[in-house]
Amino acid sequence: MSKDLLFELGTEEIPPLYLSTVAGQFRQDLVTALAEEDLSCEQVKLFYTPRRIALRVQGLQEKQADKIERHRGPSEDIGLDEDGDYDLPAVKFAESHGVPASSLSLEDTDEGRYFFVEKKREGEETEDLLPGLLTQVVSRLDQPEKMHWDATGLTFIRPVRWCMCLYGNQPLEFTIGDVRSSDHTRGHRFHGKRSVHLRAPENYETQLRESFVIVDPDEREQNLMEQLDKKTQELDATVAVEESFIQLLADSLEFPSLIHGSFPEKYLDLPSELLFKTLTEEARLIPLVNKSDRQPVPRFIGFRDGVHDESGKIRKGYESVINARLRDSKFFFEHDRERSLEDYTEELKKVTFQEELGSVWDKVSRMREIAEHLVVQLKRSEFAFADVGRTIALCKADLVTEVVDEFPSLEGKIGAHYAELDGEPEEVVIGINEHYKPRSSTDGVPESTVGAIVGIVDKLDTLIGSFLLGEEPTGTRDPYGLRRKADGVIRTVIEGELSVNVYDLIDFSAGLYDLEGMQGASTKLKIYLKERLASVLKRKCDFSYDIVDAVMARDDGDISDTYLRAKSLQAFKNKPELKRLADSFTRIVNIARDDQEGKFDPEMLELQEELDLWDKTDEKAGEIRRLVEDQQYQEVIARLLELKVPIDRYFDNVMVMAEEEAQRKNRLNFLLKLRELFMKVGDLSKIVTD
Amino acid sequence: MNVQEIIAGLEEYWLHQGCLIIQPYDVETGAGTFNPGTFFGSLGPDPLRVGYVEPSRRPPDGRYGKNPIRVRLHHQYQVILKPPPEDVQDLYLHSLEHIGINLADHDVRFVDDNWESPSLGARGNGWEVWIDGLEITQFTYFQRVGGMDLDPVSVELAYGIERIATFIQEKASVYDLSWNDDFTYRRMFKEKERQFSVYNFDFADVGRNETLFNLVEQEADSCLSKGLYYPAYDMTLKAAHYFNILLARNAISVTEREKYIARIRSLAERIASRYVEALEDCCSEQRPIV
Repeated sequence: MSKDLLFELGTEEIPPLYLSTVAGQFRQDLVTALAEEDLSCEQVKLFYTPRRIALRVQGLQEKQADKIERHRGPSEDIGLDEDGDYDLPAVKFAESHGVPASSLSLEDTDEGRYFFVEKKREGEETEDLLPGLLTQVVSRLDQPEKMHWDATGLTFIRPVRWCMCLYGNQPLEFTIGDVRSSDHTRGHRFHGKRSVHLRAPENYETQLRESFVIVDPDEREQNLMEQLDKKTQELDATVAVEESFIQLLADSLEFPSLIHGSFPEKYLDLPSELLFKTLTEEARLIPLVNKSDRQPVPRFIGFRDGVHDESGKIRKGYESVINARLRDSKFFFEHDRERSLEDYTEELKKVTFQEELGSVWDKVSRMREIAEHLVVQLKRSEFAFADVGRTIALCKADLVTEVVDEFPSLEGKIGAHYAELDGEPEEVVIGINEHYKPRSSTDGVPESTVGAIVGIVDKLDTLIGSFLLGEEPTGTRDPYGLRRKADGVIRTVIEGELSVNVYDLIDFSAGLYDLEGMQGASTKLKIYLKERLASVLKRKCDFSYDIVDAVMARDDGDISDTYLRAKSLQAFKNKPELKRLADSFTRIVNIARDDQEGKFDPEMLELQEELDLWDKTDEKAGEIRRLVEDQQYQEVIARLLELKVPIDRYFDNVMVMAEEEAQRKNRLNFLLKLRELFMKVGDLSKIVTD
Repeated sequence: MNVQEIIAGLEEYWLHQGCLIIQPYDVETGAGTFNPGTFFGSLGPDPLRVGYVEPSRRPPDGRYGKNPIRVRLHHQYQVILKPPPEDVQDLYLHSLEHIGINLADHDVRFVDDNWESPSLGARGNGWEVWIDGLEITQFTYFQRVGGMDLDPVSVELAYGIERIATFIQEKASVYDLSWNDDFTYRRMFKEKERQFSVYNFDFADVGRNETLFNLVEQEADSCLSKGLYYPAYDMTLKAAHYFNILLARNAISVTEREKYIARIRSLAERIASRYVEALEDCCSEQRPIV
């Protein structure tokens, strides 16, 4: 037998940025809690708006099944006396469970024969379990920005103001914080009924819709999108925001209704990044561009929370607000443009990068030195340093402009725009914009070489500085976004196919700080980058974990090289060749593990198989070294495969662990040479073959 | 509705909600939060409701009287509700209706914005209240003041009087607002804005203002050593004001800025703990409340 449960927690406005996550966690926690109570259900449907999080559990079992509980007591030896009667321990055990000793059973276990008692525990009614279960889920819910609002000690992301709970069609009454649950909810704050009496769980969506609340987040977003599509088609325009912004709008409204307005055309002269940012950040309005040429148009779309704006008062209000904001933006922009971007660099001396790590000016000076060191490694003779140097000199200048002061997320973007207006070279303009990439975990890396180099040195300098101050990220804490920076460096190197040794760069960068603990910090950072590299190779590049383990065993900071080795091995994944190669390698390392004294002497080889393998190895070694130099790892693997047959013959016929010590050592040293050759690709013994 | 009617309307509304109506503080403050009615009012254990107007000086926000919405001195109507009632949001929204705003005709939104005052060691969770995209109030559940966790917590409502008035009077510029039926905001404030902007941005003597900051900081410190937390608080407010002038004068780098703020916060935290200690030694009828 089952009934439907509807539980709704009414709150003051939850920040839209966290709403879907908090609601999703709530759903997951409730599902877990029901499972822990052995209560089955058919379906769990989640609803949320800024003012409520609700779950409808369909077909929730009405009563727990009865359970048999078994408890182990004393062993047979202790529980029975010599005559086979119950001794005191057995009697006490039975008493403690409220049964006569005669109802105990004796059973064999791994540890001998023991007394057991079996008790039937009757299942509890679901409606008796729910109040405790629900209050616990609410009070323990993991969420950001938890706060207090009354004396009960309950914390939540925003104050909880009501609670509705129906099981079947009956209200379930209990208390969360100082809120008493009932079968009443609330409609839209301004248009709906103050109190809505819910008659049955399945009526939830319809009854609230009548009170101007769309409780289903998907339906609400769809509803919003339909209004938006219709309007943009009518205007022959496209929205100029990311989907996440639309999502945020849908999560900040209970009943979205479109408003559409305009602003003076003169503001179209603003840099489009600034124009869009002013609309989205200052008034949560959607900027529009022409469908044909994708140029901004002097119009916006917004959504009010409530019914359609018949009188046009709301549109007028938004127009006046956005007009004032755009006037401010124009003022900031024009004020910024009274000087060239270069003129701002001097002021970076006054901007702290981080306490103890000097000013942004100091950071820029370090970036220049690291970049000079990096460019030497690149082995690209045609590459000119001038653009990199210029980009570094200018890339942080916009931090002291009015526009970035007002809209911090425009850093780099507005600087690039100003550089363009100043007539800086195109490479520099792109570099300034790109060096912050990836700006988020889903953002791409710099595409230009200049952007990539400046991005790498900027991030490495921040990483080493933060590690020096002991602010390295932990599993749960990463306030400076260092993980994204580390991953950014790695992805930039891989995707840009740059041959740079990151460990060497770290040592060099650490040396630029005149601080104690440099050595320890650079070691820690190398270990951290190593972890991140393994993670990027597995998660972003989709290499299987055994291949990653194999190539990471020979990681020396040359990220591109490690990536290329992994890529070559991945090409052989699930092919018989790879198994053969791994087998050969494993045979070698099983014997030749530790370094031996002395050197390998080919003159000491005696047996034919030894000589054959040596000839073949000697023949291939030079070629393999050359191929490694050129990073042609697929070819390297092919050459190593040619050694397979002589290696097998060798192991079948040669006794490596010879009686005579000199011979034994020489053979081991021979195998170590072979191992070294294989290790050019990685530790192939890590590879899992089936 | 002119500006003084708006202020009177809010005062009347909150008076009937049981607020203790106090006066603007006569030492320079940057926001209603700095008035002792909020700083001390939110710290003690006794239930309390307070309301007042606060002229709020923010020298860096001045624009020589030329910007239609940015001014060096604006007016806040400030309300403290300790503990906040269950229907605190409704209570707030009714206050807007009381001054003639028909809420259903407008887009009223609670836009999340966690408030923090690093110099007072205070922070809270809450929202900006927007009406048709215009921010008219900061609505905050204080969680911490003077570095101390609050129990009970308070709700702070900080209404921006000029913002509300431009909305109600449908004016694009604050200077066009009617303060009463005879005088505009322009007549009352434009010249003040200009003169103070000239002083704050171009003329204030950096050395003397630094000296003044140091002097009042020392004075606050010596007051604290005698347990005189109220005079110490006045000195702290003055220090915050001199700091704001130095900021406007562009005489403080970002690094120094943090250090100045830390010095003000350190005083505020010591004052808060002195006050709370003093309350513990008092019977409830004798406790100073604001």
